[in-house]
Amino acid sequence: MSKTADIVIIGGGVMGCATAYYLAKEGLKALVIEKSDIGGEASGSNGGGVRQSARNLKEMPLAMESIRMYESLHEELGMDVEYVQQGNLRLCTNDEELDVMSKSVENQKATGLHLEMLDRSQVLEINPYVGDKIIGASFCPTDGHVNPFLVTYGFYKKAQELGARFYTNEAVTEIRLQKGRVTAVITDKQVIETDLVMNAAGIAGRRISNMVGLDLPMKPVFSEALITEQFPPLFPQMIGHAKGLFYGRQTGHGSFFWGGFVGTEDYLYQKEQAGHSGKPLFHFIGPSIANSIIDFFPVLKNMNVIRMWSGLIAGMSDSIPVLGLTSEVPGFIFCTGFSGHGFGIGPVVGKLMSELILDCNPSIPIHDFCYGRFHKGADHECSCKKNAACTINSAICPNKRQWLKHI
Amino acid sequence: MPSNFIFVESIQKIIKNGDHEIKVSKGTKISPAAFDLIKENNITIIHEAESLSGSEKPPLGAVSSVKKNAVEKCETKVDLPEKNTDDTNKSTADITQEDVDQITQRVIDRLKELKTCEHEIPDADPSCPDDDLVICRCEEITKKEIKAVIRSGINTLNGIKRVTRSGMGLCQGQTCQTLVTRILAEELGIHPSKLEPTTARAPVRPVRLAVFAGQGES
Ligand SMILES: Cc1cc2nc3c(=O)[nH]c(=O)nc-3n(C[C@H](O)[C@H](O)[C@H](O)COP(=O)(O)OP(=O)(O)OC[C@H]3O[C@@H](n4cnc5c(N)ncnc54)[C@H](O)[C@@H]3O)c2cc1C
Repeated sequence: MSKTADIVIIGGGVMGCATAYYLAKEGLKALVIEKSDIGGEASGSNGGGVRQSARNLKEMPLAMESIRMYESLHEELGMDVEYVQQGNLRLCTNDEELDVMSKSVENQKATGLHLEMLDRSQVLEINPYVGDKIIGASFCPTDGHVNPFLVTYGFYKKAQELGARFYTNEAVTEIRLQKGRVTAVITDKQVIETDLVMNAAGIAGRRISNMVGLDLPMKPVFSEALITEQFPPLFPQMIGHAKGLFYGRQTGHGSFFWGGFVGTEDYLYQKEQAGHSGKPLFHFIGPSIANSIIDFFPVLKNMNVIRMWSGLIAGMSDSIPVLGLTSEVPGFIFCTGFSGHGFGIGPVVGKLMSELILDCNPSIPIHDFCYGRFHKGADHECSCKKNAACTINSAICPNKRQWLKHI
Repeated sequence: MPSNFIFVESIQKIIKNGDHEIKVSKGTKISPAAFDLIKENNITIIHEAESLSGSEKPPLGAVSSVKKNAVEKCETKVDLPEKNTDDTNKSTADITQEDVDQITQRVIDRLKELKTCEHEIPDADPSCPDDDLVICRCEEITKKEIKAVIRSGINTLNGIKRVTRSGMGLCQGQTCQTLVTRILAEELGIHPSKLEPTTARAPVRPVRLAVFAGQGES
């Protein structure tokens, strides 16, 4: 005998848990299937940066709303999530980097975001610990950071309290279609009948899309992270690098988190040898990040590194996520491809997805993130007037469903 | 001696054997999941008195007498007003069905208390005396905190580590890993060897940033 569910969410990361929470708040009890444990992948291994600065302009409305949500998230979730809103410094060490940042700052100011470029002396006023190499930085005072484990866990716990169901240690292996529509989700343990399924599987988002015959231009990007021992509070800002190669913060606990893709060292790339593409040398990434930390904050030089790990980022070809419905497979909802900066917009995405699912009417338009952009180009016109991302209303919002009635 | 804990496994065994009773000795704790199973399968909880273990153990099959005896012993503990509570050799004929029900109800109430204590985890509840035990010494995480997270549905060691910070401190779980494993196994009613250990992370011992960066001891 198979179970039934109003909606199955694949993936218990921040996106799956937040969506389940906002749905449950409105009375729709989702079934979340997670192959490991809550926050087992990106949401349980990221840096916790919550930023608007240096974001893709299309993501700005989401990021700005997300900041507003983070400000009161502890009340919403009934637990401390270690949110610190003391700004984001993106440090520059040479003129080229200054240039990149200045341009980005100008563009972002145009969206209404309050941020500015600082010269070295101004940076020192905010953060007296930066090293000699720093010649300037962008500073966005409303940015900050948060404990990602607690946020994900908080959404999970609250969603569960409100009636959402979570099956952990269970992986989705197949999605069954009938006449092109979603009719069931099959896991390694059971069959669950449903006509709505949300793909919030992070890095596995592509594989899940493949299950219904769709594909995404997504590839995994390797990212390394390290954590130091505890230290009395030194600085509260989220730290970034102009080119995004390296970032970090001091956590509420006192330890420092640092992460990066290749650090800032050139030698990390295997030089263009015959037939070689210049991939990073993975075993040098950690030491290279360490070098960058010492360059940027010499005061940390004698601090102990106690743990390292790495994570995979769901990198889209255009570095923005895929959200919403598609007319190609009615009943299939995208919420994946956050390209390494999804945590900061986790709460707002959860909220918007819930609004989309309940009402086909997200309060912030999400058509810039629609699946159709890969076929029809980024500027194509969405068929759904409500900007619910390429929806053919009648086909996919089955009469707004009758969920709210029988709850 | 019977164990001080009853977990799902032992209840499942009872069900498999087709039995309908479980004997518990004084101070035994029943895990919430096991308790649910007991209720679901209408298993009778028999409060086994201490003197019954050992030489006085009744022959197999003499369940009803065990039950009555146990009830009698229980009675001395719960102080029923009308009875002569000191007379342990008193004839079982004195005990009415009403008494049995009353006492059974008390045992169940006590177990329920135990259960709520474990669920809501109030401060210093006498029936969970070891809840304040510090399990992860580096991060000062107590058994109570770990149990609360497990009961919210987090059922992997990595998951517990992420939410509670146990095992994230200087020693990287070298001290608490086995303890947390044991708590989780107990809560889930499975053998510790069935649990996947937390992912091992480099470095094995803390390394100074400068050394790690290849800048040596300056
Ligand atoms: C090292 C690192 C640092 C980062 N730093 C930041 C940062 O500072 N700021 C920021 O905003 N973002 C950051 N990010 C990105 C951020 O972590 C992600 O964008 C965000 O967590 C994505 O959440 P998610 O729920 O989409 O994915 P995930 O958290 O990856 O969740 C997807 C879940 O789906 C599950 N799953 C997959 N396949 C299946 C299946 N078949 N069946 C069932 N379940 C399945 C997985 O187990 C996983 O738990 C970082 C990422 C990494 C890796």
